Amino acid sequence: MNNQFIPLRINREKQRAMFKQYLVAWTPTIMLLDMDGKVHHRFNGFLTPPEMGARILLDAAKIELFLQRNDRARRQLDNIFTDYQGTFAIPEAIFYSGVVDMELQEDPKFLRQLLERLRKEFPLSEWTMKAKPYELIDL
Amino acid sequence: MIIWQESFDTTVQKAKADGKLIVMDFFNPH
Repeated sequence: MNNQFIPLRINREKQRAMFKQYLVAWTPTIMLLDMDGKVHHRFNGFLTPPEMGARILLDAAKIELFLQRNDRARRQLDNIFTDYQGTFAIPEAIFYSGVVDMELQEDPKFLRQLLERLRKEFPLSEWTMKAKPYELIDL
Repeated sequence: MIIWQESFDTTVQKAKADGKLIVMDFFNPH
């Protein structure tokens, strides 16, 4: 964790103002922030260590994509596929993997490819539904 | 072992210096 991120803990007993400022009603709440301290993603509830690891890497990859640090986004997604197969994050990771590849290589065929992979591996996932318009792209 | 920061401002300073993202965990000690 410390290799890739700066971890920060906000204690409900000691830092109630932070809970109010960030509109946190229930714990645990995890947020992913950029290096300027701006919140990009948040999630609630208890996750198993693999689910937590995959979720954090996926949200980090989406921040890197936003920051146009696409090589870093690619590496975060690769780490999910290597270390966290079988987690709930995989369909969304496939979706963003295609998006990052399209950005890196400026080729829309990666969007069509991500749709085909999702249809094959996760036909019932919401991410397969979200990728449906990419069927209009020629392979 | 995870080394947690407790100060938001210090965390942002470190994140800027290292080019790293921040994981912020709101927790209840009870």
